[in-house]
Amino acid sequence: MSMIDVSNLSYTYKKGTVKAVNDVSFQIGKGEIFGFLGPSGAGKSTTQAILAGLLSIQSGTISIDGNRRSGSPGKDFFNRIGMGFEIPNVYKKLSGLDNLKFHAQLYDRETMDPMEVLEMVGLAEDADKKAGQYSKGMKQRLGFARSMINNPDIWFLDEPTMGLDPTTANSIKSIIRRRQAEGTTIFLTTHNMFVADELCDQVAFIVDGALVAVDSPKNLKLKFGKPVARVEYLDGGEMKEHEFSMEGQGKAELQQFIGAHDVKTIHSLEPSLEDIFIKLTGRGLE
Amino acid sequence: MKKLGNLLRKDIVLGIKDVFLLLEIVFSVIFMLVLLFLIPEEIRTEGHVYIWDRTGIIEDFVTDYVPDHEQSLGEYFVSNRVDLIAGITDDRNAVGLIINAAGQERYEVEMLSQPYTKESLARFIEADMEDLMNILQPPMGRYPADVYASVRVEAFQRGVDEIQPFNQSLLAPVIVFNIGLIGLFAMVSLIGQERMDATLRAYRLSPSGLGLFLLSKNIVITGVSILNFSILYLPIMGFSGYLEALSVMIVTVIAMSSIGVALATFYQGPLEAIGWVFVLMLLFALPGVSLLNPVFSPGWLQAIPTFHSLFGLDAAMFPDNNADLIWRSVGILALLSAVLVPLTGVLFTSRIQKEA
Repeated sequence: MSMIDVSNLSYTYKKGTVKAVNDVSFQIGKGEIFGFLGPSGAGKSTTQAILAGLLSIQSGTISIDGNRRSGSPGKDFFNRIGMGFEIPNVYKKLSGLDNLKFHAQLYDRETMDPMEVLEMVGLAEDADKKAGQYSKGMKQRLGFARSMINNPDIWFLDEPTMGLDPTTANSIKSIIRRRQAEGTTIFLTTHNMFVADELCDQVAFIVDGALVAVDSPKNLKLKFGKPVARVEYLDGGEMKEHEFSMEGQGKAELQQFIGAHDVKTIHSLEPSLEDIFIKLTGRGLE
Repeated sequence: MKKLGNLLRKDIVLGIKDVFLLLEIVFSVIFMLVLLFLIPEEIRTEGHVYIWDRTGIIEDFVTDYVPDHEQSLGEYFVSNRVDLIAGITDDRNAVGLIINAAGQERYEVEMLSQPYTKESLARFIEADMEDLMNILQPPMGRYPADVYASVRVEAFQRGVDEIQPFNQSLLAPVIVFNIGLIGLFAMVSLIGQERMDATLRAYRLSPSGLGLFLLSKNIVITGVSILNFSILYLPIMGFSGYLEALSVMIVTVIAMSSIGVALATFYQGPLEAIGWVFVLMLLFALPGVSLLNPVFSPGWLQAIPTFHSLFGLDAAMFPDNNADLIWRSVGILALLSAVLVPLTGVLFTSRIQKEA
């Protein structure tokens, strides 16, 4: 059974204007990481805001854990979700620890130990420092920490690694994986294809409010990519390149080529998610 | 209760760290010190009486024995009603008296007063008449003659001049401005900050409702207002009328804060709403003019909530058989709050829920 089931969802900010979300449907299984990829203004944040209950449903349906939502979500739903925002929105005059303590006490379910969460995101040493004195990356981590304080069953994350150094980004990604392993369903909004490729079980491409494709990264690559191998070889003292298709006669041709030339490197040219996105939509993710 | 306590703790800490709560307390201390030590404690308002004495008893006596009565007593004798009315129309600190004989041993006094003439002054004039008439032409009096055999009526008040505790009379406008109107600004500021920093957005995704969010801010603002009120009131007035004035102040703050909620609904931050805050502060300060200068008292002023705050506070501070005015003001402001609090709460909630 899917954890989140979205059917024909549409949303318009002002009547008569273009739909920010246009007839979007998808399912997310329990414990799955679902990546929502699209350029700025594509409708990612609006979809996420509707799912999280910040915006009301105008048309279409949303079912959470088998329960169809009607009207505003209730306390039970908000107890079960967590949301990490792209722009860190923390109380700047409170310490990191007080930010988490305050947020933890808003829930009716058991929450995590704020200090433990700060340790997980590498902020334990700065726990008593005012959040206003944190760097942008630290605020980002604090917001991320806050979003999981209530052990959410459904975790909405908006660009969780944006602006973070590679080491910190890796530790954030490993936390996300760990929580997934514990059964949390994760809705990840990003325009970073590498993060999506690395983390997501399923990705959806959204452009101008409409979904273009929904599938696993692997299937998308198989479906829309062209399997090609690039060979670098020495020819008369000069380094040259040649590409072979990995379908049909291509494999035999490659073998023949390797025997006949001084081949130095062979690379498979698997398409990235961005390549597929560009192929499907005619535009980039940035 | 746990959630409310959590919100209160956060709002108090943020209020203190954002300085404005402390600033408000500092302002209260400064205003209190100014009212106590810089503003004169008493000012004298010279009162006058225009008298048309149709019996001649008072006029003959005063003109014979006090030739400079106009300067020394502030008493002007006129010979008809028209002159009397003209006199008190020109002189806003004057009242008019028409003394008529009613038979041999009786007289009648008709008093023409200003709308703001105090009842105590009317009583004094009444007693003074009785005193003079009974001395000058016994047994001329309003009561049966045998009463005067055993009763001597004497007026002890110094005269129609009024001694006003000036610093105390300024206290009501200061309280309404520093506490009521700042309550409005504080609410705009507290909510605006949460909207600008998007912390309200994070809060909305928790199971604690927006009603609790507003309630916490209202409690903090009301609590700080009670503290500020006490700082201002107690050193100047003592405990006289404290609870009555506090009741007026509390309902004022609640009404003003809910207007602040309405403003915070439409504007992202305190700076965006500053124009409206300024206009409202000017409008709400207007009834203060009427309190200090009663000549300016158009009926529409009563539609401004602070009119009731000011006159309710004034009645609590200077009791003059006007307790009903205090509770009428409390009632009007409580009714207003009972309408505004849920209305602005619903407005705020429904509008905020349309924001992603």
